[in-house]
Amino acid sequence: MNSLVQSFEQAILPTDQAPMLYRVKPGDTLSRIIADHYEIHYQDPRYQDVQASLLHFNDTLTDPNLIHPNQLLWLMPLTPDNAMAMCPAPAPADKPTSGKFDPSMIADSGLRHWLMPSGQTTYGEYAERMKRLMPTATKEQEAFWALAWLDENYGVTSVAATAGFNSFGGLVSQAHNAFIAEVKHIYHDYKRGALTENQYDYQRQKALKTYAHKLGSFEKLLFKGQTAREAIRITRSKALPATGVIDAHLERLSGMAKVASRGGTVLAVAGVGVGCYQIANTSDRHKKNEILAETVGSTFAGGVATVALGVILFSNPVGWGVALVLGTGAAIASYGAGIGTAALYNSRYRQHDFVNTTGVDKLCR
Amino acid sequence: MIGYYLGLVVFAVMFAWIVWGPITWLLLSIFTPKALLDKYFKEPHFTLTETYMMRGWPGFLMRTAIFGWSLILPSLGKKRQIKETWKYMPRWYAIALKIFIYGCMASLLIVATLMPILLLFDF
Repeated sequence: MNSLVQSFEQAILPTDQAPMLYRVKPGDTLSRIIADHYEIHYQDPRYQDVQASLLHFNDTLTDPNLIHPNQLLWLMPLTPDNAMAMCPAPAPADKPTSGKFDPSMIADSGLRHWLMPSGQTTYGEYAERMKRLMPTATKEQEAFWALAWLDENYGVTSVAATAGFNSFGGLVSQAHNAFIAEVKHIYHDYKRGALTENQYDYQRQKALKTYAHKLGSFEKLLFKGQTAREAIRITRSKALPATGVIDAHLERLSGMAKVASRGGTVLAVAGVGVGCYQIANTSDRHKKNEILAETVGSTFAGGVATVALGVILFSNPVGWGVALVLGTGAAIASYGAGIGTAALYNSRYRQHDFVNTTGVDKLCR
Repeated sequence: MIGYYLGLVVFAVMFAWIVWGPITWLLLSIFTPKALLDKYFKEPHFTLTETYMMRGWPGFLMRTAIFGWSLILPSLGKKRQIKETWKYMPRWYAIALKIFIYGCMASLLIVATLMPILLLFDF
């Protein structure tokens, strides 16, 4: 999480002056946080300064004696010489009742100069901008950090998610669900008199056995702990259609198949989209080129690896299990190729601006 | 110096494939000859699962790749009982499909050969 916070803030802040976003853990106190982060203990004369600055930069912190777990606090860095915190402690007679920092309280000293370098954006302005950007409600903050984590780790998660969707799609494909639908048709044939009871039992068991064989150990996953034979049954209640349970399962599995197919498509497009988004949202030319190299490498590898896998699939019909393994392998190779391409760019071509040469920066902005 | 130019070759091959590969693949998949599908895209040549997974996006891309390999390595089609697929597609489609497969494999060979060398050795 700390590295994630750093990567977020270093986009707009000098690396040696980056604030830190700290998530309060159970058992934390403000004095302990200040001691751990600033090595300033309660008896230190600078303690009040640091506490006042925390109160100023954190709207959610209204009482220094009242913090709660998962609360997010901005911890601003000390001045370079560690001589004082960002703001002096007010004299007791002037202490604002709200505990908020008032810039006019700063004595005319080097601190004012440090905070307001002529012609430059102040450090305080950076922090204010970040305060405006960060959501304030706890749930929004949670969502923000979840999305930021996904943004940071999309490459790895997309491999797992792609493999998951591919295999899930195979598991709940319409081809498999056809066996369940067949049970319904067999029952209707039996009720019409086209089949005897023995024939109905035999065909029903054969269909369910074939389905269970195809699903293998994932049978119970799809039917919430039951086997297909236990779950796919004729309803005996007169209040419900005889095949009501079967219809309910079919509807659920078909819905899952739709989600799986959409998920695979979404991820296929999202992979390129995320690369474009990341290029557009960084101002560092080198970073843009690195992202481009990674995206191109992974897209290329994923595509040609899939074509190459065609030779294996041509020579051998495969079930969903082998398809899962092959698909996962291709996804991993794609991810690894992206990393390798970025490494190649960094090792030999740092001075090249491929983003500008290819016109990608005009497309992704 | 050689490493520098070889690396540029790797990047050029990848960028070039990004430009021509996906669009060619998509077009070949969309315009797959109906005669070919009617003849072979069913049991026993493809399993029921495969026919469902490869009949639309994005599975049909893999189907195209399979038919492409049937032109280049027809001897591998014994298990699927697929042979002489060229008889069921127009000449232009067969040529385009072959060029696509050869192009992909040539690109893969170049990148897969050069990239590990460039990453592991400094020259």
